[in-house]
Amino acid sequence: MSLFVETVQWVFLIYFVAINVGYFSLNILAILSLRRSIAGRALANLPQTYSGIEPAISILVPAYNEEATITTSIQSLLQVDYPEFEVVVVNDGSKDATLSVLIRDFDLRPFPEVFWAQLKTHPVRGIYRSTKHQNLRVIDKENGGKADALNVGISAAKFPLFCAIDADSILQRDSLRRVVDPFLEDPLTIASGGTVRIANGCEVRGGFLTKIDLPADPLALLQIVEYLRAFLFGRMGWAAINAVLIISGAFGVFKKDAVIEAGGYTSGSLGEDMELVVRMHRLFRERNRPYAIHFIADPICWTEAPESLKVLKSQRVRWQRGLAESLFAHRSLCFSRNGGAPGWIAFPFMAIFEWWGPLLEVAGYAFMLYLVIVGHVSFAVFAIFMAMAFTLGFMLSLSALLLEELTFHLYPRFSQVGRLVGAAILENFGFRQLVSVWRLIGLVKWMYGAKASWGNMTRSGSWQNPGGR
Amino acid sequence: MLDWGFDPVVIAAIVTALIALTISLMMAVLIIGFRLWRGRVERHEKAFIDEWEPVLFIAMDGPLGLKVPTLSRPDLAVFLELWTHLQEATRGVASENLNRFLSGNIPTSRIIGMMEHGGIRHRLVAVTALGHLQSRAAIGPLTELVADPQPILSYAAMRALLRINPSEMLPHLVPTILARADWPISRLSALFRELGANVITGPLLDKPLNPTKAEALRLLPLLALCYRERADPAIREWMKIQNDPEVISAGLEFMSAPEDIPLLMAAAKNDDWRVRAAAASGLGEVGGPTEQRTLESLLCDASWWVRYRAAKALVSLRGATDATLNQIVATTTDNFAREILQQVMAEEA
Repeated sequence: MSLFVETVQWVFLIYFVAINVGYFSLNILAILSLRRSIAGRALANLPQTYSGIEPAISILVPAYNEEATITTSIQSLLQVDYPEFEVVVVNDGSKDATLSVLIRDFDLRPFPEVFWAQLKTHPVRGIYRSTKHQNLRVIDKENGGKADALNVGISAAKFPLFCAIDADSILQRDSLRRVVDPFLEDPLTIASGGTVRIANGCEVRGGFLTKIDLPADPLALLQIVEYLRAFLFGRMGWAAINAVLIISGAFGVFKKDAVIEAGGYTSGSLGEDMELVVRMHRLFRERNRPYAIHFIADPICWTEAPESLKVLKSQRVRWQRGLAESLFAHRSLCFSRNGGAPGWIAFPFMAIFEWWGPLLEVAGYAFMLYLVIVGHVSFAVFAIFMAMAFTLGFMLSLSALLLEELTFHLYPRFSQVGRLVGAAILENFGFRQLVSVWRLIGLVKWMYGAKASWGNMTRSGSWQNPGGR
Repeated sequence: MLDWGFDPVVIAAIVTALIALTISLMMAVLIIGFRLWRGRVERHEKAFIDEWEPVLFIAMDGPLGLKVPTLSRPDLAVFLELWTHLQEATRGVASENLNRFLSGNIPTSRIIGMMEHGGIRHRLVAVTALGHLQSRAAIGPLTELVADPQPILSYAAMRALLRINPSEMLPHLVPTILARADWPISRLSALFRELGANVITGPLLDKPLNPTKAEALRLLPLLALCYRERADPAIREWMKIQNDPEVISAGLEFMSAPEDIPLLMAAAKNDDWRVRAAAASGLGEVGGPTEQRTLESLLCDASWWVRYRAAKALVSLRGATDATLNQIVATTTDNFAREILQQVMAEEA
């Protein structure tokens, strides 16, 4: 028994060291890749003009039951700072008044447009064009889920690049210009993602972010540290080796031809954003075709984080299922002959630490607790192991905060950094473990194959009021 | 029960925790230290700018008796950055006065030294300032820097050289501009537009065009900014020997004279849909009633984009009237052709 206990302890220890050192290394990689973009700011700050050859973009906005916020979202999208773009809203059979609100507020008229279904989707019921804004179209279709709505948008998109965006994403006026940069700089680019940050506590006017601050809500604050640690700098690290496996559905630009060639978004998928990116990696590598998927370090898209445990749980369960679906569907990428960095580094890393990680983490905690209860391990040893897990987690969070400090410096006040460090400590006492349990639930649900649907995210929208917290 | 004092796994856990804690504390100190340092630097820079901005504003109006004291390297960088920002916002006499003020107070050799050594931000500021300063002494070092592997630095050096003397520098820089795929074509395009057709046309077109495919795709957007009466014939000749669909479709964008109609008509039969789509657009611009039949046949093309471009072309075709278009809608037997034409007619209405 003692050999078994010792083995489990070693596994527990090695796992925690490996995951934290892995992410720590990604942060280091991110610092190196950031050097270039930061250096370029000295010039980027100088007045810039459009070159006239920026590719036109179709902004796709899938909408389902968004009657309360859709008008504000579309109005802000119509004001983005970009030379040529169109906004294509896809109403995915909303049960509320989303379509009639759009018709009323944008003076939509039915339009005799030929819908060329380049991807298989649920039927389109009608196409409308705004008489107020020449570059706004609304496509009404039968309900088929977010991926299906995006596929309709891709088919209808007029331009060679499309930007998939959530109806509730908050942008900066130059967000589109920045996320398109990789397409201008690197002709091999097939997709480019933007850094998504948490908007809770920030001030938003007219759909654009005007002031950055931290939220009063502790749950949202904990998620800021979590975003910095895992999502932001992790992805930037992967970008340095062309191995980004996720481009957030909240904001990403894709080459339309490449996505259509890959088959578009997978209907019914819960992680349609990640699934598409992993599939594109797999297909391009299988076909031995050069490509690049870029990730913009600058914060260019902001989203509201859940402030209730129930909604957060639902979100994390959904994310975990989406991740498991995506990796499982494209497991042939892992260690494949032409897999490169995505197949040989990013995929195994994600599989071990993100896909099956929750199982190992929760099992590790539970088993250690069991050993303490049955008396195979002293409480002191248990405390040492927990302290190790906590300090490793704290080290990782601080490395992300340090990177934020060295780069974007979005939270300039000492009180803000104090609160973030406090959150980095506090998250180890329950929050991270709770998230692991939710992710494990997601993993179990994926294994038992529950049906996918639109994410039912309840948003408070408190940031929409100037000065609101 | 395991005794934590002697168990190797427990010792490993303790050591790991201690290492993580030590690194965490070091990073916490770094965060605080960096924040304090940044605060101090920002305050200093603000005070520096508050002091020097009014001086530079006065200097824009004419000679100033004031001598700039010897600045430390970081202060020199802030000074040059401020000076550059003002330079970017001014033209004419004010810009010349700013140059006079800088060259009278800071030795060019010092700015060149800053460009050659140190952090990238300082080097970039120095490169940009040297460009605005139009210092001929900087041409040699800047030319060397154009070959630097770092795209930001090399691009900035190229831009600075073009600021110093575009007519003299551009002929030497064209091969590098076409070869350096890491210089964003969008920025080059904006820069060339700023320089103007009178400056860029000669260097880009004086020699016969013989680019590789990659170079051609970079060159064509730049040729669009040249004098068309010189660019178009050169492209026309060059197009005759092209067979890459991507290059041909990009080149067809230039075919805007009646003499291009035979080439466009031939391209309308190309196997590649991109070429046919570009040909349809071209025919819409330069064609007339005699090209209508070809465009009508393109309305039935297998590619949606070709049909769409053909419909656009028909709507804008010289001599096309609503009656002509309605007649096409009424007589065509191809549903795709009818629908796309109706759509475009509604779009244009």
